[in-house]
Amino acid sequence: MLRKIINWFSKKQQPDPLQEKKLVMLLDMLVKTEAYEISCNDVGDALAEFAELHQRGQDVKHLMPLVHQHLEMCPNCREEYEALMAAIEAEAELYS
Amino acid sequence: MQRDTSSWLEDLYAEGAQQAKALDDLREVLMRILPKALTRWLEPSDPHFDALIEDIAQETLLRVLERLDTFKGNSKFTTWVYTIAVRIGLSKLRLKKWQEASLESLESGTNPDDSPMMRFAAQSSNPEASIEQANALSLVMTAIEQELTPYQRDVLSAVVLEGTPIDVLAQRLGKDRNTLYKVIHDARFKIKQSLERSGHPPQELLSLFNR
Repeated sequence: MLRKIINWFSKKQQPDPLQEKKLVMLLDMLVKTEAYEISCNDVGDALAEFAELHQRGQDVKHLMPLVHQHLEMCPNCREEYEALMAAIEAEAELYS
Repeated sequence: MQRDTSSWLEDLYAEGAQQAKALDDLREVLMRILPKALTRWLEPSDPHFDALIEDIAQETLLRVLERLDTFKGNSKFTTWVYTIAVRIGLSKLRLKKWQEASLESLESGTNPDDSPMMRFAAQSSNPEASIEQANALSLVMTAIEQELTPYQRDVLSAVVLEGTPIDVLAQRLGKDRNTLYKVIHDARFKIKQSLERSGHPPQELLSLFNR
């Protein structure tokens, strides 16, 4: 994939919209990149607390900024967070 | 069957019948919650649905017992359990999806990539890039070429540009998911620093595409 994008630039071909879009997405990630970021396991350890705070309407972006930032950068952890929120909602429906 | 956090812990730390009953109850909770939590990724019509849910629940119970002493009480006990369960479940589902996609790709000769990132990219492409935009992307490519090791380029390309799930790639490479996240983070940070040093911070380049 990267090779195809490099070739696109080096050969000065007609811009490929799909490949261009991917680089713009990378650019967006670069803007959000921080010098220190926590790992997926660190997020896993804090995710339950983060999800409950969010469910209670707390400002998680400011209360747990490192977890919030990681979720913006990591699609896997973001999916797990979304599934966790669905689990919390399901529990509330089933056992309330 | 409803317990609060302290009751779950008391029963799971107990031995014999008391612990066995708590595990049975926790399994029942998981069997009810998991189908709803994973509904976006696992259709009830999937022929492997019941087996997968059972498998995920069983693996979660083992992991919960192994890691019981790491529960810090910062959330409800069941929320902590669901965190473990969804990570186990989604890892299995991602792996299954990519194994099937790779097989289809081999059979049809097409690219297996069907990630949301790729679909988004395909749908919202802009056919005309201005010279300024092309130059901005060229700066990003130059930084990738000059600053990253071949390994960093490969991992960044697979995860960020091709949309390969990080845990799937980790398994293929025999690495840990955390290690690969660190590789990608180091790569992103090196590119960002390089662009800033050259007087073109990413925010400025990105603004060329948001006008």
